[in-house]
Amino acid sequence: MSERDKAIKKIEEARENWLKDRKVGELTPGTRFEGEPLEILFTPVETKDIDYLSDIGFPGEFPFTRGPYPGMYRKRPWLMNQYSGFGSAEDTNERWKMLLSHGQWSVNLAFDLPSHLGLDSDNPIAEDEVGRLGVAIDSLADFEALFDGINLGMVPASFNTVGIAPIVLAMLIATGEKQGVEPSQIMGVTTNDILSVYVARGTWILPSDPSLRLITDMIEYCSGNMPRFFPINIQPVYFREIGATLSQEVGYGIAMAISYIERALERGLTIDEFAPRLSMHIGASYRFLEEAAKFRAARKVWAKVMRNRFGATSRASMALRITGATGGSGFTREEPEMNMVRGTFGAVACILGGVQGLLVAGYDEAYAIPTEKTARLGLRTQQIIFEESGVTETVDPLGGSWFIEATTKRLEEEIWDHIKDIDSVGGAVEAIENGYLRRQMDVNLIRWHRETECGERVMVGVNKYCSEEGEVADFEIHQLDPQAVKRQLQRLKRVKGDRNPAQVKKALGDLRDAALSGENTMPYFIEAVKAYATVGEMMDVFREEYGEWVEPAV
Amino acid sequence: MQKKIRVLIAKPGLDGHDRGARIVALALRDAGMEVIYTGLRQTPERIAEIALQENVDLVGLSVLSGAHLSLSEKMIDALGQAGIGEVPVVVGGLVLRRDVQAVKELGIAEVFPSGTPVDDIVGWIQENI
Repeated sequence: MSERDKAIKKIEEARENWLKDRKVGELTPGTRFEGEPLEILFTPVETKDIDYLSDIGFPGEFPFTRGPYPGMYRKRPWLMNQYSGFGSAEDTNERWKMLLSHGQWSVNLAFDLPSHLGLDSDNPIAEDEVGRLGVAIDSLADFEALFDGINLGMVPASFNTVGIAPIVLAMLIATGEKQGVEPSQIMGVTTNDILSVYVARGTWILPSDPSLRLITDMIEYCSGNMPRFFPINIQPVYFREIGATLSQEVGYGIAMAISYIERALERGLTIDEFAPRLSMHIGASYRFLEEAAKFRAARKVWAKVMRNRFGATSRASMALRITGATGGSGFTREEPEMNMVRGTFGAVACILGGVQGLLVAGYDEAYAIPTEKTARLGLRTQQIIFEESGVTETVDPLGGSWFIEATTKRLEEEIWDHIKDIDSVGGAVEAIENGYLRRQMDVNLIRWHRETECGERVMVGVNKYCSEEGEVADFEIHQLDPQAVKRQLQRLKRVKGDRNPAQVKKALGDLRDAALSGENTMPYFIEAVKAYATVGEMMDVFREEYGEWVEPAV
Repeated sequence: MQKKIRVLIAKPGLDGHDRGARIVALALRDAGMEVIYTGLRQTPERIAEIALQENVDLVGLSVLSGAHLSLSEKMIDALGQAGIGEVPVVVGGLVLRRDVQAVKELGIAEVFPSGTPVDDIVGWIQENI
């Protein structure tokens, strides 16, 4: 027996005695996020199989457990990325300028539902939804108003967009051209993860084959032309809303990434050409210790998948860049101000987990999209964590904690199990199309919901310490401005009247030809956007050729 | 033997938040009801058509986009048009308590704002349908 083994054995014996003598073993154990019991105390025994250099290592070094970059927040803060967009482009431009003037240095756009679904604002089925949950985008004219006074070469722009992502990218390139900014200088990201949207968010348009093809077109186009742009940010964060455990969230996220990577490789790209531009958006609840461990485990598994499965050799391919988010169903409608506290814990989880970007939802998220006040509070939360809390004074301050390292390891093992599970049913696309993925999470969804209702899963103000009036009656929430809808419809009408119909017709015809020939569609989207073709017109080309995605039965 | 209650859970409009609809569908099924779930993005006309075909006892709309007033009104109209105006409609989702009365005045039998315990929904259906 080695010296180390002897030392561990001594601790093990001492722990047994402590549990017995001090009657600690009789106490009710705490639970993991998922509900399973936890050890009452973690010691070096639980981490005895962990090797520092190979399992944890240094920040910026394989397997990137402690962070994707060596200096982490000692070098630069994360991107504070508050999601905003509502009404018309002018309203959103104004909100962005408010956030930029308060110290945010990027913009993050929320689209309204018709835009997500590739429907123009004048489409009758869009009637109740124009500008409601985000900004309405119909044509390049909207982007011109949106980025008025915001230079695309200076301000990174994030877009929560999937079905119309190639159009958004084309609009960004065309807007950049008008500002004198080359595509190679444009910084930003499109979420563009259709697979998670099929499972959880519902803003799909096309079936999986043409959707994955358009995503691959964007990955290919950006690899050649836009080194500062991230064409896809995989979004397993949505799965947290439908019953994912911590490891399911990450495992299914990586399984989906594998599907995108395989398509790009089939296209003839090499892994190190595009993998440095992949990233993942992962959520964090207020259970901040386990959540922080989850981000560490995610990087570890990603690094090994990239190296061992795909033969990546560049460090940038193996280091997973993560954007974090906190909010969603963890935010209650009861006493909504409490969500500022919950959001702070979620945000701390993301920072302790080493994310590169962060979104803190407005505390009013259970009611509506954020008001100016609640959007600013989300940003202020991040600034306090960065400037005042001290968590960024040293890199990965949780590293080496027995609980954190043991949890990171356990989550890593579970993540591998989920990846193998999805491989065994034929990959993520298959698992989504036949409803398998969703069924794996439905089980937890209903169980946790019941546990919350009966009070076993405590939520302050919801099922414990409840006040008389949970919902605040007079609290100010975002309201749809009918004038903004009117402005949007007027602009669309003007655009349609002013453009050159022959040019639009030709551009849409060329786009259709490219779609059918298998050529990369990006240059044709750019031409169509510049001709002021509308989002609806461009997506109709694809809807006519490929039809729409059909939801698997429940 | 008593006939099983047939419920249509429907997502009208463009909104994709279906967590609540699915939890309610699973809970009603657990309570022994027959549940048909329409999937996302259904028009009120299409929902009325399914309600007619499936001969349901109740239509449950799940709305989280904030458009509950206009969608409720359209749903009641669509059921009337389909000749099954007698089928009761309930609405769940992001409905502020201050809006509940206005929704009911449109002819909606009951409103279950998010946060309503699923057993209350099950109980209401068992009592009223």
